[in-house]
Amino acid sequence: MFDETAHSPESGTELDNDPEGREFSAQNVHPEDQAAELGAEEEKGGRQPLADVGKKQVEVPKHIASKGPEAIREYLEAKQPKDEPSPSETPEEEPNVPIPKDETTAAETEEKPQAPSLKEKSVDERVQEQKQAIIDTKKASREHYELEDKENDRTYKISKITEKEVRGKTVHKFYYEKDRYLSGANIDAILRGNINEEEKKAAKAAKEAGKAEKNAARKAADTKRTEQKERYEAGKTRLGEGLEESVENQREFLRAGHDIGYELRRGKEALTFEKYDPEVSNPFVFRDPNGNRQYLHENDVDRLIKRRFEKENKEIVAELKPESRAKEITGEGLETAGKGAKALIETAEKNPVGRFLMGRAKAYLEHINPKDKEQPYYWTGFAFGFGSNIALSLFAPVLPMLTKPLRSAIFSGGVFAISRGVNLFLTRNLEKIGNIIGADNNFVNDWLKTLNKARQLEAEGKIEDSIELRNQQSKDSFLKAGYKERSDYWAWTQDIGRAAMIARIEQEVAKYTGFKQKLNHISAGFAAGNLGATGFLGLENLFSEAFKKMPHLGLFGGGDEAQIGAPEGAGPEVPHHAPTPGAPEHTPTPGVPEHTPTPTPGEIPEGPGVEPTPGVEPGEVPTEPGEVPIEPGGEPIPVPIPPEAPPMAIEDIITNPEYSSAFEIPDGATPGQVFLNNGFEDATLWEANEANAHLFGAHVEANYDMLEEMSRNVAASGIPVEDFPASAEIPGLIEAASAGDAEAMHRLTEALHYWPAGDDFNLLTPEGVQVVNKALAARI
Amino acid sequence: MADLEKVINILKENKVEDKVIATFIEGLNNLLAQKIQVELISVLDNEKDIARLNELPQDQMTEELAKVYKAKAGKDIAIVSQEILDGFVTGFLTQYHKQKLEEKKS
Repeated sequence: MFDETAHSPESGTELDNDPEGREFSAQNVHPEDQAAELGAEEEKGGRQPLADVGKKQVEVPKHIASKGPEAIREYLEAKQPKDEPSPSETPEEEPNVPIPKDETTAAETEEKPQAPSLKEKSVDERVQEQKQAIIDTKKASREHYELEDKENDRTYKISKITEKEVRGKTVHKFYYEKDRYLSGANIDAILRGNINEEEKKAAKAAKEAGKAEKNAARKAADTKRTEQKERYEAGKTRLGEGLEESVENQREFLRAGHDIGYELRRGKEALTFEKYDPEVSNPFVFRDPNGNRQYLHENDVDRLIKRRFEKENKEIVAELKPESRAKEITGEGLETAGKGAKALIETAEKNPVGRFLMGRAKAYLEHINPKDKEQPYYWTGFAFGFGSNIALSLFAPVLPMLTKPLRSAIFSGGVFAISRGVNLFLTRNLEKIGNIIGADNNFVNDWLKTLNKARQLEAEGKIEDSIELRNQQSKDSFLKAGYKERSDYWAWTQDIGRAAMIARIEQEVAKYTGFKQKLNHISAGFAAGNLGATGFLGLENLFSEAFKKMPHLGLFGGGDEAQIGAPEGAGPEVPHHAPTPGAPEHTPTPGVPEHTPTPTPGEIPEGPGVEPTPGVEPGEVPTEPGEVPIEPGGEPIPVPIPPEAPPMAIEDIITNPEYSSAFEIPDGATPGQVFLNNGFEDATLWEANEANAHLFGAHVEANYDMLEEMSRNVAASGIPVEDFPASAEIPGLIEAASAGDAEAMHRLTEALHYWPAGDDFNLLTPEGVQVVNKALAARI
Repeated sequence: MADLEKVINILKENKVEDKVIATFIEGLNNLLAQKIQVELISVLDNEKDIARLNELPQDQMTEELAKVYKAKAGKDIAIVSQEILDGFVTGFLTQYHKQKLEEKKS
């Protein structure tokens, strides 16, 4: 409760008794505050005022006091020791509350604060509110009011508050001890300090909270990354095992009723697949060793297939170890192997279809030129198990409807699977790559697993996933080996692998021409022999059209039998300027008169109205059109400027045998190689120069519709293709490629990338290339 | 051939012309030939092997190469090439029937 009984007549509106009369300590009271009070006392004629400065009580002389508050303040300030320790340095001392500089007197501060900024005003308002709350609280209670000085970590127990009017202003004194009090300005300063302290704490807390939030976010991101990595690692392991999809494929294969006789082991018992019976609840029907039917549920089948795959995987891993292969190298069975191989080739040779296929395969293999930019990719594709698009293009006619099965057949089905020989080669090549880049011992095994899974992905048409996987494996390998970050790891790996492969083919195999031809014969014979291993039933009819088309191969009756089984160089060659099979030696082109040669560029056509120029031999062209040498004593004879021959239409060029012939595209042949075989400069490296630009550009134009349709078909089958150039773009691409623009050259070669084997290609002669280019140049 | 016949029948069911089927088989044969060639080249570890085989006439080289392959790869090349063809056919049929099943489901 507020002590209203204690009332001093001297103190006016003093709220409580001053036990010592007017004798009170002013320690820690701001001089201005003191001055105000002392001034007030002076006015009342009170005794000489005393004030504390620091710890020392200071007496203010009367002559100073008589001059008023200003003089007293100056006096006290002068008396205040300059090296007075700061409150923070003297925590045990009496409170020495710092007062804001902009405050003047306590009364002014208390009752009439200076016009502050919005922010300061807000603090001031809070100070005043809190101070008023203290006064109100104390009024309402006799108990001490505990005022905490947060800045100086001290608590004042306010026992009483006095209030009096000094020159029209209300002045409070906040007693915390019997003879010690805080002025209103001190209270303000304490409260202001408290507010500052609270704000600092709040700011710190907010900062901490923000920091915590950031940490939490960072932690969450780390967790997410870790989870992603774990998922990726788990996925990689799963992919490396290659079980999941394989199990599903095999199960579906059984469900489709294929692979009768497929064996699964349940414990020690071998179960043989018999059929799929959708009418029963356990529809996979097997036979046990006793001949009893065993009906299995899909889950059981999956489990057993998985177990079988795991066992096979272990065997494959074991096979990769050189020592396990070494055990198999024995003399036993080698003779059988040799005889079996010969028998297989004979199987092919004895049958017309077999002979035909063998001859075609030999021709195909002979087209392979390691220098040809496309072919090494193909070869490397076999070794690494990739090269999908090129392999698929062999089946171009049926691609649009059967892309998926063909993909599956090529990749998961064994053609690009890792077979034994390829295992050896791949392992060796990977070892080479590993040695080149300085990879560790796990390099080869990691790669084999990755490539295996990547091939499966490709078989399923998940090309991007496959690329991602290979790229990741390449990246891991290179980074692990200490290489710098780059973006095309898989391409880099392929380059290294391809270099090894090309070295093998060029330096070792191609060196022995006879060996290569005999090898082609063996390979072609094995392939055709296998196709006919159980008879070429029905194939004769399918090939009858092809037989009719290929009489020059001499495969059937009375032909050149030397084509088959000939030891060297007997394979069908790509015809040089080959006439269209079945076409007469010389076919008059409709609309082109016999014996009327089409003007070649720069040739002046003879025609009506063009008289022979005197002094110029017929056919001789004056060096400067429009002028002839002046005969001695004569006038120059004007010569009519010959009209430039208009460029021919593309349709006319490709139907003119002088410029173009129909060429049946052989399987596996690449444009660069065909051009090379047909009298052009070597264009297999696709360099951006004028000759190549004119050559490729002219052929794109001459075969535009066919190539464009092929590109569309390939794209429709899901194989990524580059944009086929619009017809109007071709002249510009030729011009740019001639000037060395590699990108333009790439677009021209890419336009010829997919050419349909078996179709007729308008193969231009060198003159034809010129005429087409002239026609194209006229469009610019 | 027995299973390849299934592939041919599927092509016929899909109304693929005989001429195109012939091209398909030719393409397959070429692919197999190249695959087999890669298989054979793969086991030739050094140029000496190649040089030695190069001296032999065709039939002898066939036998010798088959022996070298078996010695190094542990299996007959005739069997391996049959497996490659089987793998192709199996892969094709598996995916084709899977595709059919999916079509039926949808």
